[in-house]
Amino acid sequence: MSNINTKIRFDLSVRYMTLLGIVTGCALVGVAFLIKYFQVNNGQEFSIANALSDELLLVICTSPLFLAISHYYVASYLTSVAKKIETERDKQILIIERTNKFAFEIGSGHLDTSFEPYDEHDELGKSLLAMRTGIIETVKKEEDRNLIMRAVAETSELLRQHNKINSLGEALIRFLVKQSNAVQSAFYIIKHDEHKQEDIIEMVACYAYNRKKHLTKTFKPGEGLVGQCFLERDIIYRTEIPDTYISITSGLLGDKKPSALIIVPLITNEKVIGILELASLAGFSELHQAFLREISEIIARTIYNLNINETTLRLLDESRRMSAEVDGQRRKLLENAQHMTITQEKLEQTNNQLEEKMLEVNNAHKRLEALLERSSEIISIYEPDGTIRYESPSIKHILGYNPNDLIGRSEKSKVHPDDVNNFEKHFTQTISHPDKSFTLQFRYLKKDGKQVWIESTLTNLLNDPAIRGIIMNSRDISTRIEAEKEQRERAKMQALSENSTDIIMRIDSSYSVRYINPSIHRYTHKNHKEYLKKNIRELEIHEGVKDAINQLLKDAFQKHQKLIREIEFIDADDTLHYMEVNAIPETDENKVIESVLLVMHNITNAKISEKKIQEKNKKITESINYAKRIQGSILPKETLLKEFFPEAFILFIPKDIVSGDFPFIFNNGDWTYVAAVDCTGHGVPGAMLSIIGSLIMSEIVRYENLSASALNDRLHEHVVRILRQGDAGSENKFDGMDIALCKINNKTGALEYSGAHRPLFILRNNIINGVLIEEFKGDKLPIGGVQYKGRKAFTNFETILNENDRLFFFSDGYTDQFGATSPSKKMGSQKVKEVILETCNTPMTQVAKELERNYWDWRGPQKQTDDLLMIGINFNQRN
Amino acid sequence: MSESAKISALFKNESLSIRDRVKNILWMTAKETESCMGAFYLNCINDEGEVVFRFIEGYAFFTDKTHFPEYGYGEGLIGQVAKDGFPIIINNVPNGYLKVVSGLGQASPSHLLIYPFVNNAGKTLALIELAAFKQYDEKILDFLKNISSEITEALSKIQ
Repeated sequence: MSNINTKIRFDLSVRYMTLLGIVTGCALVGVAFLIKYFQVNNGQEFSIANALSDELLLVICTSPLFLAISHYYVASYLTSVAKKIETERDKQILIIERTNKFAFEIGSGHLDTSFEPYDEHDELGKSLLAMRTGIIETVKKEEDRNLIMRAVAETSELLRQHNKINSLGEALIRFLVKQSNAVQSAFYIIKHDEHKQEDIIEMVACYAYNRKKHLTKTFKPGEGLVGQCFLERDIIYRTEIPDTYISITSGLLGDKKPSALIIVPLITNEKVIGILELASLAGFSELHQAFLREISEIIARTIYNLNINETTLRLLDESRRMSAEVDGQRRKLLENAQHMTITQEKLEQTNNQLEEKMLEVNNAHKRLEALLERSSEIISIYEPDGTIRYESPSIKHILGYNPNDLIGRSEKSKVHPDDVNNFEKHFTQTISHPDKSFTLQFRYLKKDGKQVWIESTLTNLLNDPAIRGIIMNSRDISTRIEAEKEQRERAKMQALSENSTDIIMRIDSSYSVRYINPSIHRYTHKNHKEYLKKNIRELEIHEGVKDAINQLLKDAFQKHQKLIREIEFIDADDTLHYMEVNAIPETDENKVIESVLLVMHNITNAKISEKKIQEKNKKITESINYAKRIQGSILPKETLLKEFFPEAFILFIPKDIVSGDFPFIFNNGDWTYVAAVDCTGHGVPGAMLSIIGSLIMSEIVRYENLSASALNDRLHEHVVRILRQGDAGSENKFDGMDIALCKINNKTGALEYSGAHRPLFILRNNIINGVLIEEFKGDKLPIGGVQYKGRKAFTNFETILNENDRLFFFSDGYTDQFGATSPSKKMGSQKVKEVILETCNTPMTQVAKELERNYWDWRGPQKQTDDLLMIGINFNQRN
Repeated sequence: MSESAKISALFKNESLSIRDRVKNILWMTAKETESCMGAFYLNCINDEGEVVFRFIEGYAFFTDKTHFPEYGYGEGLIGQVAKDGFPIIINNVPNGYLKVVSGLGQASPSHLLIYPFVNNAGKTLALIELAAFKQYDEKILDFLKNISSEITEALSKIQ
């Protein structure tokens, strides 16, 4: 209606506008003609034709037409625009009305009202649509939420109703199948295998189209999807599972097979304690998944609590049962304790009796032990193999061993080696003869190392059940054996004494004869028995003899020691016998002299021989002394030497009465020969040689002034000649002499020296060199003695003596002397040099004393080795 | 962060053992692809000194832990893929090739994917095998390709 009105309105306005255009045009034309007219009046003639000839005026004349047309179109356009706006407005009003209605519908909760936006420009409609979708979603979510909450609440209610896992599982999956649009379900519990230390996933309930099947199926972690779910701890949702998957079938469902599978872990306290598996035909919406996720925690917690409850119940049950058992046991124990008390009392009585008996037995045992310990007999029990099983304690004081030292061992090592065979023989014999005894004696080593004699009796008691061994009773019979031995010894001595030629008698302290042997008969012609038990005074022997014996006995008793004396024994025929009497005191165990044994040995023959020898010796000595006198008269004295050398000495100690050593002194004007000569041997033979030597030398020097060496050479020739040592077959090959020969010029101090085996020491004391000893060793040639070819002549040493130079030369008797402290060592010449040096500042007499003292200090009580001759000269020049 | 980047980052985490890292990769990949079974094989040298690909971790893949399957170059599908260096997707896996198991039943998955992790030198370092009831779409290959370089890099470091 408004449209039509509007149209009419618009049509009119077009007409008006066109008319207005025509009018406006006509007016314009009229104006143009007026203007033209006035222009002509002013100069020109006005005419229409003329006017029409003006082009502008001509154009203006068409303007009403143009204006009419233009106005028409403008008006038409404006009218159409106005018309359009009008239409649009109407549409908008319509849309608003629709939308308003829709909005009202939404507002009143009719969300399912169909509504399409008017066109694509209907933004409000679109927004409303979006809003409705949002509201729908929210509402749906709210509904879902409510659904879930309700389901959760129902589930919780369900869970509360059950307190057994199996029944809970059954109920739970039945409920869940319904709730989640599933067709099949299985419920698993995680169990822990204590033996294998691993978890096992065990199916405890399953639901398949309302039909239960008791499947006992287990999975290990990681095994299959269930195992994987356990490990992964997250929902596994798989769609498009093949028809063949589900093994639980039913006719009810026909061809329809579930195509989606969801596996939900039940987790509480970070631990998977169960798994739910559900299969659905259409698949599980997110709502279902959310629902399942939600309840999984509740179920898990419930199962966890249930497990704990079950465990607690089980433990409670067990503890009840156990306490009942404990009660029962306690009762039994009480009964037992009563029984025990009674038994205990009985036992105590028995014990007391037993103790009494034990005491008795112990006392008996101790008595036996004491007896055995003090017994003089050792009782041993041997095993058949020879080891000792028992030793009586008496072994301790008899042999020194402790029984334990020997028990378990063999005794053989202690038995004397010579007796071992005998011991073993007897032992074997005993073993082979039951109930028989054998006795044997053997030597045995005590603990202190002493040897004793043992007499043992071996008894075989192997058959005696109480012993079952060899019993050995042993005694120490050393004393008896010793006594027997002594007896034998005494008997031997008696026999010896009876047959002796010596008179043997024993006199007791009262001087009466206890024993005398038959030898007395030889001297007194009386039987020895007549003397027995008689006092020494009453004996029928020579009074002098009795006195001597009496005195001897007295001394022996007093002095407590063995005495030896010679007595003169005058026998019955008045013949004198020399007797050597031994008086031997004999003591008792208290060392008191009981008796004295007199042994008289006839030494008459020996005495006579001795006397003869003494007489002969005396004669020989006398002759030797005589010889000494002769020798002494020949040999020069120290005084002679001092005539030429005032400070000089001769130390001369012969070994025997006569000597083989001799000094030789001969003066020929200014020259003086001084020699120490040592002939081989000593005593009489030495003296004989010395006289020969002395005479030869005196003869030689008397006629010739020879050098020292020449004198020795000459002396040698003479000795060889006189002793005939040059002759073939001469037996006298070794006799000869050693010599130390000095030839000294008293005025010039010239010295010649020649030595046969003898050295010369010259002690020089000068300002330049101090005190020193020069030694001339001499030649290693003897005077006389063995002859051999190519013998050299003696060397002549020459030197000049200064005032107070000292000469020392000597025979080997000084240096060869063996010492008191070292009997196999000779003194040596070094000692001589030491003494000479030590006494260099003392007079020669003092030197001689020191040398002699040194000799005796060295020699001590030793025997003299050889004759000793030493000559010392302190050189003083003579004017 | 994209899913593949997340997985790569997981694999690079060197504080975990190689087995745990492989497990993470496998499980996440299986989850992402809704696979029912999976296995991861690593290039190893066996007792005879030959190069083999040894099973080291599985997804819903149960072994008794004493014997792990291993394949040489060219041996079986695993060996073939390792040798070729190209992934394969098989959509009609014959019954009995693998078996997916749960309490409700068991079936052979019909779709199989084997993807080799090949380093720059063309050497196959590891393989992932996945099986599903659903068909794999091509996007999975892009996904695996994305994580491949990270995995080969990490594996090279270990080997």
